[in-house]
Amino acid sequence: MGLDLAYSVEQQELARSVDGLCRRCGTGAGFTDSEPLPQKYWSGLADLGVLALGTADGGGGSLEIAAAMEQLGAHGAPGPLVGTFVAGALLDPSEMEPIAEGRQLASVGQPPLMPWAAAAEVFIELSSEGAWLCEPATAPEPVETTAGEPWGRAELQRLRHLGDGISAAALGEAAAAAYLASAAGHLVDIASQYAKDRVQFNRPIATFQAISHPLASCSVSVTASRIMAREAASAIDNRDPDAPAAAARARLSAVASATAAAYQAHQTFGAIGFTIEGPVAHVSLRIRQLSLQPLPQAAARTRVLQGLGV
Amino acid sequence: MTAGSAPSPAVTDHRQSGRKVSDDDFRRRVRSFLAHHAPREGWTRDEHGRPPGDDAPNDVRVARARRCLTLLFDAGLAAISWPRAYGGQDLTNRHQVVFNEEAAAYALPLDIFMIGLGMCAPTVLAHGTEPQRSRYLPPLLRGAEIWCQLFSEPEAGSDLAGLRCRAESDGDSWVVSGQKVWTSGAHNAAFGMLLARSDPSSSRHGGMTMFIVDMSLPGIEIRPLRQMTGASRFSEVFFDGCRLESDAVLGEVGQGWRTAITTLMNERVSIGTSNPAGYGHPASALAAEARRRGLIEDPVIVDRICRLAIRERITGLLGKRVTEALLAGAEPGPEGSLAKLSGTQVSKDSAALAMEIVGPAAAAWSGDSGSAAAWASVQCSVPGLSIAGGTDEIMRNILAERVLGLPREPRVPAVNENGGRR
Repeated sequence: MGLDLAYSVEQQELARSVDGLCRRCGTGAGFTDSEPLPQKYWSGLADLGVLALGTADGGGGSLEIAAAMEQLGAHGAPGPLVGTFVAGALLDPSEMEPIAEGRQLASVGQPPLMPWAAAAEVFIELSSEGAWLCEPATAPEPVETTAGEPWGRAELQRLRHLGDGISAAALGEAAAAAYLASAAGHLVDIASQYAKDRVQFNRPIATFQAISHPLASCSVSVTASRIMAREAASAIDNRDPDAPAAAARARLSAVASATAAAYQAHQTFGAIGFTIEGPVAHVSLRIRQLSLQPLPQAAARTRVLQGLGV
Repeated sequence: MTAGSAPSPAVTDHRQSGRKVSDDDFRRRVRSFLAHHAPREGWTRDEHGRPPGDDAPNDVRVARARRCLTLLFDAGLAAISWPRAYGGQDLTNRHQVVFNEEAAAYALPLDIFMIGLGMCAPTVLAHGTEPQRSRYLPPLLRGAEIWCQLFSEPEAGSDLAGLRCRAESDGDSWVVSGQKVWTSGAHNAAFGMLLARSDPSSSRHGGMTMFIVDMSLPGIEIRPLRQMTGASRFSEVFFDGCRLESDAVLGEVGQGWRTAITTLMNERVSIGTSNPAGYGHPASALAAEARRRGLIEDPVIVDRICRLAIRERITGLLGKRVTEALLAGAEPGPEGSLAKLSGTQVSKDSAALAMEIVGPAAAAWSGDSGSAAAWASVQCSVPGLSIAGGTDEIMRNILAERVLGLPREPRVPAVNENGGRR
């Protein structure tokens, strides 16, 4: 039995379309300067069917989500992506339709601090205890985040139990893992290119092993995380009983390698990577943001233990 | 970066002389001054070691800083180890250390003066003419004139000797053209210390001159840069035909590198002796937060808090070594690099641990408590610490070469336009 990690022709097609959308929209530094979720970009994703992936109506599964998230991660693209896919795994088709069409946003997390709450219409509480469709008791108090996302603080009232949330959480973690591993890979790539171009002390800084070796180490861990993210997506699509543990492993691995890659990219780029206008900051901040979703890392560790039969 | 820090002992040669005031008397005076003013002025740290109002608009920060330094000056507690001739107290470095020890419990909002006090003033003292010292030191030490440092360029970061900003001799004047970058506080500065290439035909380290630049002169354009933290505390500075008179030269023409070494040595001391709590989250704050969230029983969290607490203490002790070396009259050595490297690692560990303990709130700029922004602030500022004031890589080179005596990496000689070696 082989571990087939290659994407199908259709999945590659989807990936190319998502990449093309991101390039046309210019999802780079400064993309969210005027609005946290530029309309053209988000409706573009809806039109490509990305926001409906994993649902009965939308078709596709975790591998399609992974293919899309890899492209989105490489561009550091914004939006309540993980929340959208988790919502797709939990809600009825009629509830999911406006979200899949990009007309409503889903806020998925653990109250009171909810991702994208200041801009969302649909609220889902997701924890190790289960999942609930909720509504805010009062209007969420807006909270700005380091990645410029419109989060909010809200007391949520539970409306309907959506199940134990285990497979939805796994799907969300696998999606986050794909995004993070790819964002990390992008940072390693651009840092490597910069190190070749940047001359100090009469030589490209890439010729210093203090620069090239850490990037090489990052490359190893990023590749590993990418593989684990795809493995998790496959496990979910194949309804493998190990899927929740695989997703948790992938998420923990991706968070670690993305954090390390962000640090190394900052070191390689120097001060220019510390500016908002530079190529690193917006991706690095989004990595930090996404590494906190959809559940705390402690919950992922519990799943990994469970996967070990403990 | 150095939140609410106090001035470091200056690397100057007057430190061994000074008025005879006992340490105890002085300490009592400092303590009573701070106990009286700090609560009234809001010079108190939150549990994260952050000074209040750090996110305030620029003019508010400047006003707070000026008020603090003025109060200190009026009480005879500013420019402690500086000669009376320039407005100082003519006391010793030891007295400055006593002041710093007492001030560590508070958050004196003196950050915007740190470059001037910690780097520019010692350089003017060491290399300036007497007219330059008399003109520039008193208002600098009083906070009336803020200074910036114009060293780094787009093509000259870690390799400062690669700088290209040009100062062309024109009779008795100099005409400056080029670009500086990462100039902290340029937008507030009355004066800057500029390192420029005055003789391009000379060797890499020769042919540079240091100048004192009046930042209001024509031919200077300042463009703020936005940092990840959201603030704009540093800028690009463009020089286009800016004319400086001969009295702007600081030190000898062509000896700019030597002058710059003084500045960089003082910067290293300044950073090395700064409060480690200013770098990230104190272990105590993270422990309190873990307790608040019912995580204090988690052995993984406890282990990481303990490791952090230990490394924090180490960083503080390394900083003390720098201070002790100075007080003993030694030239600052690699101790400052060691302290900085330790500090940047601690700050990264504390940021990662905060994310673990605090969860999503670590990404939020506002929250349930007044110090909520501390989490987000550290997340955004930590990447800069291993880069500003000497990168981690440069710190390791210094330690490898000067402490372990390991050989340098082979140098690649520069090639000039004719293909010959420089």
